[in-house]
Amino acid sequence: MSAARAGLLLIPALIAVAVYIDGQRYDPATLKFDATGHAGAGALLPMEAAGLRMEGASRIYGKDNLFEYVNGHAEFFISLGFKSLTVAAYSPPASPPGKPEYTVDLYDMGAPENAFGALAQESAGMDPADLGAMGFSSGRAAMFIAGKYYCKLDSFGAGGKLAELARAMASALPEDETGLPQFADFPKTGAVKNGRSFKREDYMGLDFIQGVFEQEYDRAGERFFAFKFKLGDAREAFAQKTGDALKEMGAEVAQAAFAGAMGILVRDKYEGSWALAFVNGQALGARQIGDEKALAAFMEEFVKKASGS
Amino acid sequence: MKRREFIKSTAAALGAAAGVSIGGSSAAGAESSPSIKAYRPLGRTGLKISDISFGGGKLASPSLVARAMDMGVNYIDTAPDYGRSEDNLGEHIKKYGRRDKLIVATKFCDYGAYGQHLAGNLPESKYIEMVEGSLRRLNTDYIDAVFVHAMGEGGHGQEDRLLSENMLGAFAKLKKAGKARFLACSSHGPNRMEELMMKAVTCGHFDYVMMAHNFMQFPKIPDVMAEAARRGVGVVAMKTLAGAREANISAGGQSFEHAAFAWVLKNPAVAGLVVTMSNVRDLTHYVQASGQPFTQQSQATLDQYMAAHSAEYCRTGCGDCLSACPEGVDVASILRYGMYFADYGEEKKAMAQYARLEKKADACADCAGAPCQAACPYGVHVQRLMTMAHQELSFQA
Repeated sequence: MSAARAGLLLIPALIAVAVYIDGQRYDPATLKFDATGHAGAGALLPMEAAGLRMEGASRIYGKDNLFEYVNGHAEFFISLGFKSLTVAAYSPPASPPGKPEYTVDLYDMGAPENAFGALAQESAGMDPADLGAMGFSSGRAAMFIAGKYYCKLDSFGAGGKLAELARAMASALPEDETGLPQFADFPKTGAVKNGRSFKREDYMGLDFIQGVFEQEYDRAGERFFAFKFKLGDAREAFAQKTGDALKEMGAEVAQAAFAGAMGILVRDKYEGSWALAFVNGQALGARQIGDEKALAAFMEEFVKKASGS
Repeated sequence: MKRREFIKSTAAALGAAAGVSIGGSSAAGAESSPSIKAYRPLGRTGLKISDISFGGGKLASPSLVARAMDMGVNYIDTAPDYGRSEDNLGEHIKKYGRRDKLIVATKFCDYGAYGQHLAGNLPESKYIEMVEGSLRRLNTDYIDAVFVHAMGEGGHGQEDRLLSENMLGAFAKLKKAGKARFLACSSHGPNRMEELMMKAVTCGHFDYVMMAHNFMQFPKIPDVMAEAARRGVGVVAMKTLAGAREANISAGGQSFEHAAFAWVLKNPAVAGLVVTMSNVRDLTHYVQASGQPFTQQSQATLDQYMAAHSAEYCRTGCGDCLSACPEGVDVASILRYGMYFADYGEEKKAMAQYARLEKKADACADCAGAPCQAACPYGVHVQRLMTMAHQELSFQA
């Protein structure tokens, strides 16, 4: 794995740190509005969409003044590779000025995987939606990615036009088919479209498994999940620590090997049998597969795909 | 299956797998699993709930509920707008069953990460629609309790929501259809919390109430609790950790969390408390507090916490500063959103709620005299906290 790619896998940990520590600290020195030098993506945003019109001009933010817009949250985006943010407000033509009903935040994240990182974090609890390369929505918010762009829409009224506006924005943005490198390691067969997610912490209720990229599968009607996360420790230390913690919870843990990669197999009363394999500084895993033979077979497939063998 | 058999079968299934066990003895771990020691009656409902109960605000894993139930936890608090909490609880119910062993409480509110608690004066059908949505997500045909949630948020006119005829009518229909058993009401504060809770207790419509209650709370809440006890209205406590700030504070070997829980549970009017549990470590630690008495060591631990954090903590439900602000800024709500942002890791939710406020805290930094601060009976550094909250929560350029 290249250093650059390995670095990308550090993103989840950086997210947690940024949000919980640095993101909370406000530096007044950054509160100096200056959009000079930020190109933004204003040209991509339509002046009219879904029967709404853009209020005034779009505003553009860069790294030096993103705090003005997402105070306390700017480090989160900057740590993900943020380049610029273009903000536009939309309202029905007859509504009074100054009280926009919708805002559209268009983040240029520099690369598709960075855009995914932002989406994965911010979409927790939202429903999948057919928007862009991957999208989510709720009653009052929608978000999606398209290439290097992460687009977020909020409504401050009833939100009746939100879905239509989101679709209009998605169609206005260039689509990027290059995919997300974080998921390149996952087997393709049976991977559920829009079945990708990012779990920041407490995966399976386990506080030592964090920053997880997860892909849902459906193979011949059997639904299961594969996942991966960056190892913070050496694989032996992680395996030992994990084994100790799981056994304290009453699980059975055994060493295992999958396509030559060291791993562990866990039998847990609550999660059933699941497995981890350690490949190139990351842990690959699978859970909720019907039987251990199928689990082992999938893990072999996963390891081979991830290690390029 | 015995450990040896497991390793043997594992090795067989994996072919080349070594099958060597990792970690310490699982039997020892299983034996040390804590369990609930006390169940208390929830008012006149006939239910008895675990003294330490499950706050499902960050429920990310269905199996966590199963683990909690095996430890004896029998009450879970969820809501449509707690992320995927209802979905995950529903997955738990579908997979593990035991629905009759779990008391499920949810809220009248919209679904989704940016959902909103229902306002007053909505059509009866809207309330029913919300509960039907919860029933679907929860994979159940009945909900034990439905809350009119977060009373006191959003300023005045709260009685419309508390005593909405349409809400009451909807609940009556849901109850008759066997879809909801009990009606409850909750408040995090900040506005008129005691008054609204007292109204909920005395109006006769609510089977139990849930309110913010902790050792840093102002003292009128016990009056509400005493009245509730007199009328057979149950009480559940929440926000029991007083802001949940990092607190490596302990006296006499009792952790801060256990001391805070013991303080809440020493009041016999409290049936139980709900505390957010997002992982097995939290669950295990919190359940260990079940049945613990409040002792001198508990008080010493809480005193240490007070000394460290008192001036940073806005007491939920107080609101003494509200009338002092010449700009009419909803000080208590903004400070609570600030707490969600800084202490609970709920940044986006806090920012979205702040964005909806008509009056923001942008003028607080330059406010001469800061009358809010003078009005605070607890010496909270209101002006500084408001300025910080605005900086963190601002949505406008």
